[in-house]
Amino acid sequence: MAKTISEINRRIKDGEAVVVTAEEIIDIVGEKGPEKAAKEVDVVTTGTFGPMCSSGMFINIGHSKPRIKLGGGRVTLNGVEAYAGLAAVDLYIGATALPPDDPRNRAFPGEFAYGGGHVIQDLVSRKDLELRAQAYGTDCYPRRDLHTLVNLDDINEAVLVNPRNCYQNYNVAVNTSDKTIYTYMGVLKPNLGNANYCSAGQLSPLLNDPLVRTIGIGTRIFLGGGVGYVYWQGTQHNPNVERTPRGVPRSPAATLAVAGDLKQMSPEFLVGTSFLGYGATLTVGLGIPIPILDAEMAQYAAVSDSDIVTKIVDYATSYPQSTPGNLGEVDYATLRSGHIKVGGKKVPTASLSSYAKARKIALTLKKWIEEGRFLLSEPVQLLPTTGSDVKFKPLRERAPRVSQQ
Amino acid sequence: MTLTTTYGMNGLIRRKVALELPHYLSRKPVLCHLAKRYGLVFSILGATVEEGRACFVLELEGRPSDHDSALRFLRELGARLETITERISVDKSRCTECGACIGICPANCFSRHPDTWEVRHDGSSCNACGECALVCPVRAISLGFALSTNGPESSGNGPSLEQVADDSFGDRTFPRKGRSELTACDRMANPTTG
Repeated sequence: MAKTISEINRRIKDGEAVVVTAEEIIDIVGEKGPEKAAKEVDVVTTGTFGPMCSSGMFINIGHSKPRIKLGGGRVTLNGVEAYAGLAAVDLYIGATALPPDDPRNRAFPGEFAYGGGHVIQDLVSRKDLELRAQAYGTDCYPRRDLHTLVNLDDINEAVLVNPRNCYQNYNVAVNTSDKTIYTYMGVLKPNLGNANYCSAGQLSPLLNDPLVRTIGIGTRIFLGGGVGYVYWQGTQHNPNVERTPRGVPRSPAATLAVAGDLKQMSPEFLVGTSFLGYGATLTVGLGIPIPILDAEMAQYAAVSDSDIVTKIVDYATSYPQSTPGNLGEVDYATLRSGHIKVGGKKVPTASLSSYAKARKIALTLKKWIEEGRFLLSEPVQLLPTTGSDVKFKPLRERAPRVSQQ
Repeated sequence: MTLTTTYGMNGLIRRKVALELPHYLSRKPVLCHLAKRYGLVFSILGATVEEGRACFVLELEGRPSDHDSALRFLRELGARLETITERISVDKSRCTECGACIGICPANCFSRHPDTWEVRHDGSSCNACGECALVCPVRAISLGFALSTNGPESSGNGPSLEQVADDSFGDRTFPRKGRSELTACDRMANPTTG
């Protein structure tokens, strides 16, 4: 008989819930079968820890005396550009933002040593940030300049917001050209010199609920070392992709939009990151509890690295040119063995996503639930899944009419 | 003494050495003779002059025979010379165990622990190319410098070669144009226009 989330929560409160990680469930289902496993196990915890470029944070710095209206003005935090097109003292800074005077890729490959992701990590580390602002001044907000230190404890709110992260599966990146290339998938050596992948595979949240049967708006999650929530499907959410018989997408598919209070997060799980020749970003730790409502969910959560396949993509040609095609499929067990074969050549693999940290996140979430500190939430609405009318479209470029000014 | 050597174009080689000049040489023109007499191009990577003694960390580039002659010249003057080797160090407090370094290292110095999946570093086959430091997304890897031999204790209370080498390179990360972490103070000293 199927369980409900409220029954599982009652067992969590009573200290009776059986919680295992996405690694531990593999053997349990293997030994006992999905029916028996679903009766015994209430929750499977997952985790992932990888660079997530759409991360950012909103902050409200509080009103100065006299008041200043940052909206419409220009603001930097530790020299990195922040977005001020909001109300008077609200700001947004994205993980990939850079200082205006950063040389970018002019001295190629650029280092991108300090960007928005580093600002977020410094703030969550409770370091002072240096804020500089120029505003235009109004009758009600007369001040035009502000130069001050701000820190996490003094500001009103700091909210981590990620409109797209936690990708369900991701490409393996290689380089078939004769030059080193510098990508968001790391440095790729020429002539298939290395292959980089970026998923926690069997530990990855959305690969343990491949059809997002239990995840939706309002799902409570582990985010950045604290508690966060799913607030929408992520941008580029693409459930209508080719899948294995077990429902696992064979290429990047579902994504999540998540948010959480930065004040209870930790710099261990929000790490400013620099990709040589590519840019600055933020590496984010995220974990989702999967309620084992029935045998089908137990079967999904028992997915192992050898069940998950993904595509090998050439980042020298087909990715940058947006041309279809790939260099074959490979499963995560092979990727994690250290080498894959591409076109007959043995290529060393490396991960940009930390499996060790993903495991730590799954274990942390397990502990929180076992201690009764973290209850599962019933989604207000589930995310679009296979068969929905969601489409992942490329940009259709159209020539603008010549301006008549 | 075997010096760490990098082979460049045109048969020229590049070496890094730490040099200590005794007090009686510290006011004499010495380094310029490396260029004038031996045709070596030198870069001063670090320098300290205290209590009459001067310590330098130099990078020398030139023909192998000129290197040998120049180093002999320095020793005969009474200078103390030590080899400098480059080494990789991994700051585990910054490392996120991602593994970007594993596939990039040409000498296979990085591997994963089969159980914990943490990244392990064994520098015994390291050729100090610095690729790992460049690709590390969280700048946990740095290419530092160390004196490769423990030479005789220097006399007096002035600066030691070890100190100069440490001060010059100890915390510096690769590449040399500076991956050092910016602090608010740095930015105050160099305010941006934003």
